[in-house]
Amino acid sequence: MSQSQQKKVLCIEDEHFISELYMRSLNKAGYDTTVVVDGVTGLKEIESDAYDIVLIDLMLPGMTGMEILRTLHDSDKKVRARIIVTTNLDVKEDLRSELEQMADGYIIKAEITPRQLAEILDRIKLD
Amino acid sequence: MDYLKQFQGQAKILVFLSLAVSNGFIVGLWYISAYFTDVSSVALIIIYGSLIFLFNWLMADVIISRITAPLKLVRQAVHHVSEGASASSPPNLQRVWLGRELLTHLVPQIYKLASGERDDDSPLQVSGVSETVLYTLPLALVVINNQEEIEYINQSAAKIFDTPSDAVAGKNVHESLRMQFATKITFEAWLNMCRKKRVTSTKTWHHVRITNTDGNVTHQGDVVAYYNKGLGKRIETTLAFFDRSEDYASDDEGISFMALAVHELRTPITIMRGYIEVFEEELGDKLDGEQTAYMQKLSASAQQLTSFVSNILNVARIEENQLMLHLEEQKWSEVVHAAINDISIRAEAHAKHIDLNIHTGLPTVAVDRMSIYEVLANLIDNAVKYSGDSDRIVVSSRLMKDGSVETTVQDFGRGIDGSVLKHVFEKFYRNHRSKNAIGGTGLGLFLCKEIIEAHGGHIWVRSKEGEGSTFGFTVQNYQAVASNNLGGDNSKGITRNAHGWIKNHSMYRE
Repeated sequence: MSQSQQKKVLCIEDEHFISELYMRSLNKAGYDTTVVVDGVTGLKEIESDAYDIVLIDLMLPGMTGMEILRTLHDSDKKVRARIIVTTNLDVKEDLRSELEQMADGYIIKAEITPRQLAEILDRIKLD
Repeated sequence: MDYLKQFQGQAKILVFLSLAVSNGFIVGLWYISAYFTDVSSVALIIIYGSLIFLFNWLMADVIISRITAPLKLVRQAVHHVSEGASASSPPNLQRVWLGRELLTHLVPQIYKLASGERDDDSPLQVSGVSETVLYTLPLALVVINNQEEIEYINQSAAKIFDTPSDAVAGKNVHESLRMQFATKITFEAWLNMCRKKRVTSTKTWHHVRITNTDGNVTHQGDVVAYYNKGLGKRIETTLAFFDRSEDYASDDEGISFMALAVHELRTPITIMRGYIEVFEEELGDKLDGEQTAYMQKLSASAQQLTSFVSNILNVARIEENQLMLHLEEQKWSEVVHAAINDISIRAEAHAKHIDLNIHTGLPTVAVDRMSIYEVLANLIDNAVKYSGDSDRIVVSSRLMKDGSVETTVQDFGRGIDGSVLKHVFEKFYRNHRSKNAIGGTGLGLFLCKEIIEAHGGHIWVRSKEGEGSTFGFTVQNYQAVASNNLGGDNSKGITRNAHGWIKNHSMYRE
């Protein structure tokens, strides 16, 4: 992947070990990965519209993942990034349909390895 | 006191005495015959035979009339209550001496059960005040007739079940009230059972979900139903719904205690799996055969732990009526291949090889990929555990005559004892002989059964001790269930797999 084609990934993850693993794997797969550890900073970064893909945890300090998604969903300004929820939280049925409307994907972190995450991101089509 | 037994005892004495008299009569005749030596034996046989026949016929008549006398009075009581007091007379219990106790107990019950029939046609035709109270009561009430149709629905019920009270009257209750139950004995199953076997019965269900016509859950709560055959001329069943949506709904944005516990368990597993992968990548070339095998075992164990956590979560979902399947059209061979690809690492770490034998030309099936993955993972993990020295596991799929697709997971290990076999799908059931030697929770097969049955399929096991076991399950052909409102607009654009979902518009497609 050349510098100009390099996809930018924002990883909003407060668990340091996980963000370290994801950053290592994604950078190795050719992505330019930025990590932020809280929801408020995460939302600001998403709104800067500088990313192609956003990985967003649901349980975050400052602002939860659901709150970020709702803010983005209700906002007039749409971001171009594909938003993938990466979480270990099992969402109940009533939230599942809401999540499906607001995010482009939902991945349970414990079920995949960082390399598998990179493989999934490789298959995501960007505008 | 058991009046029926008492009646049987009395009848037994009557029959015994009758037989004794009959036998005495025969002996008496035989004794008398000694005085008629000049009469030919043929004539004696004809005379005595006729007398014995006549005597026994009369005795049988007496016995039958005595024994069936209670039955006649029960019939008279039933006729009396069903035709009304003017059409026939009530039974006179003084006219019977055999089984009188049984009758004096039984007949009042018949009148008690039928007492509603002599009231107004419907118990709902009450005074104006009561009717208003019923209608405006902040508790959902539904009254059902003996055709399983809604006879009456109050204001709260009409609101909760999202159905106008005037439009729903006379409609089938099971179609009109869209209730989802956490247990196998649904309201419909219970009512069927009651109508066949019970006179009165009461049952409570917890965690019942009410859905709208789009299938979305609108309310959650408890249902209490009361059945009484003699509640009214047509009325048989009343049903109350206690709205507990707030209690049952997720207390903090869908995060239940179980979800939190699972979250906390999954986080270290994610990290463990991540760093194991780092080791595999960084040290891959430098490890010798033995070390590679250790690494594989470590990786397989971490993956197994992930499955275990998923099993716990899924069982909790089943118990809370939260296991919802999103059936979608899938190519079965792709579903199986993707799952086996992932699970095979666990088999290989235990030096087992999975042989795949999927027939070509299988129709598309209606399945929830995430759930089917759980089923295959559990069956294969089970086969790995119980394979013993055998290193082969065979996974096969074929088309059945009814259009469903059957998949079997076969191992050639120790097999399962016949007495154990019928319990293997029960929750927490584990074979006592193997539980010390083989790890497990007893949740996996229970989960498989629940998931497959929720798909409309069935699961079975066949086993012979010392020769291995075969677990099989069916999933339904997509076309066969397509008419049942499969998926919604939302789900059509989503690809689900074992680890979550990605919207199709976000995926590359060739």
